[in-house]
Amino acid sequence: MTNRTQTAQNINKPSHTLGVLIICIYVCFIGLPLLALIIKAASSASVFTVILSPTTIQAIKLSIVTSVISVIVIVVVGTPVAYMISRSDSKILKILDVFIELPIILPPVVAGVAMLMAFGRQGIIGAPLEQLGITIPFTTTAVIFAQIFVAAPFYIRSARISFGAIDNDLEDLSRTLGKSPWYTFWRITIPLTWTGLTTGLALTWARSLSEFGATLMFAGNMIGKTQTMPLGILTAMETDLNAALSLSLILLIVSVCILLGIHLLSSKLSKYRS
Amino acid sequence: MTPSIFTSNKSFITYTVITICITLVMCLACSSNKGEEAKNPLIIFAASSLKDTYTDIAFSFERIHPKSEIITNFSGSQKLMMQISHGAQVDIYASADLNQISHLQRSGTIDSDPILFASNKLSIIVNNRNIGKIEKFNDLAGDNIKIVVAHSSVPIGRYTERLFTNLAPQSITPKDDLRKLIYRNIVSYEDSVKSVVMKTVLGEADVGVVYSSDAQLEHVMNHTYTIDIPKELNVTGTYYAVKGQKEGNSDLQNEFLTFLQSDIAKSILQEYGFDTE
Repeated sequence: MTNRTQTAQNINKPSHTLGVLIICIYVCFIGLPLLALIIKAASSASVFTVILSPTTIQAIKLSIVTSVISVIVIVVVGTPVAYMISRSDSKILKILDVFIELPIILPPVVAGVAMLMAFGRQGIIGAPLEQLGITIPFTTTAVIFAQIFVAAPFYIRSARISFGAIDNDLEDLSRTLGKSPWYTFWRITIPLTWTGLTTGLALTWARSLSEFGATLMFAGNMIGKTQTMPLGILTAMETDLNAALSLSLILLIVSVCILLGIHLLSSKLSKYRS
Repeated sequence: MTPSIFTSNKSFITYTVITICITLVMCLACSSNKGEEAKNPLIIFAASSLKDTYTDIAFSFERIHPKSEIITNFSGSQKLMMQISHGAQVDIYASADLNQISHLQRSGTIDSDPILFASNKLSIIVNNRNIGKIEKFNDLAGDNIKIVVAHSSVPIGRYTERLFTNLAPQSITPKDDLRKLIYRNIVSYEDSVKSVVMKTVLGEADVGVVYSSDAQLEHVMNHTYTIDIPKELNVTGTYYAVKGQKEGNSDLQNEFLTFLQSDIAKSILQEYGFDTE
């Protein structure tokens, strides 16, 4: 904090004003639409009837359940992947590193089509699975697949950077002291990278909650089964704008709660650990 | 101490220059092709089921009116209505149902009268891999069949509901049961007819309910076959076009509406499986 204040004092005047101006423009640009959404949704009389309607509750429930499962899978699988990439010199892993980030720049609809080509009933893996009696499209599993596909890169990327930033010597030291690699990982690596990991977690979670394009393409739109909140908003938009507004407001609140919660938890834990 | 990009004068100047450049580029992009010969744009919002047809119609119209340039936007009729009622400036709005237009008239967004220019029957398309398994309407109630329909908020979704009600009584099993069994097989309510078509053509869904015009498209016919629907039980969707609220383009708007009722437009519509009587 003191560092920043010093920097602020060192800045020459005109450019400082410019900086402030740019911040103001940016805050308005992002803040105004969100504020408008809140005001419009709150002023519509139907906000509570919409929130309490069975369709909405099912959408919220489905969104939370699927995104939590996705996040757990991403963390369990993504953490070792990120760790390996950051610690290895292998060329293949370096190439893999580039590919892992691909879903971030891929339009979600393309992701959905790609999922269909792989896991659809006529897909490369989907067709043999179909023979065994397992169908993925139009199921809740498909929703989770879509979320993992688009959201995982956010966590892995963040984790990889954090793992790469810590001092290898600390880990080596722990191991030379006779501690097992597992002990070192849990007691040295994880605490040191805590902030990066939780930031990645929050981003991944928020991204899975808001996943839309790939889900619509791959999982379809069915109340209680594949209709997550963003899909519910789309369907509501077609009939009742007020309902769509209320749903958007809930999605916004849930997202903000997750982000805030994780940041609070993260800062508390990192204080406790240090 | 973290270095700030504003600390040195040099980087401040660079920054300002970049900002000005970006602003200039954006201004240029917004006021594009002023120098060229100005073409009169005609903005058309049309239901997604009209996509292929209107692309052809627009092409023919532009040939007759070389100074015009048609800009099309295809989406679910309902979504287009929402965009128009929130200020999207359109010259022509073509909807797959009269409801949306009446709604816009009631809210005062549109004040002219719509013209009826085509109608369309429904078709039940089945992916080719179900040959022998799904042959008639009752087969839709079978086990392990995935049906995709449009959501009832878009016109075709409402027509689909009506079609199922019409078809269910003629079945052997009691009406309610058959309907229940069919609805149990619905796996997704899509937001436009084109999504229903895509999922059935891909084989992700076994059965889709679409417009006859969609069922007749070549790429659809290659992958699907249709189930016979008795004429008297089928549902007809009606297509209306209306002048939008965009001002200053009245002549071209009228010309397009007249063109829609011309023989050229009619033959294009018929070619794509629409009725124009």
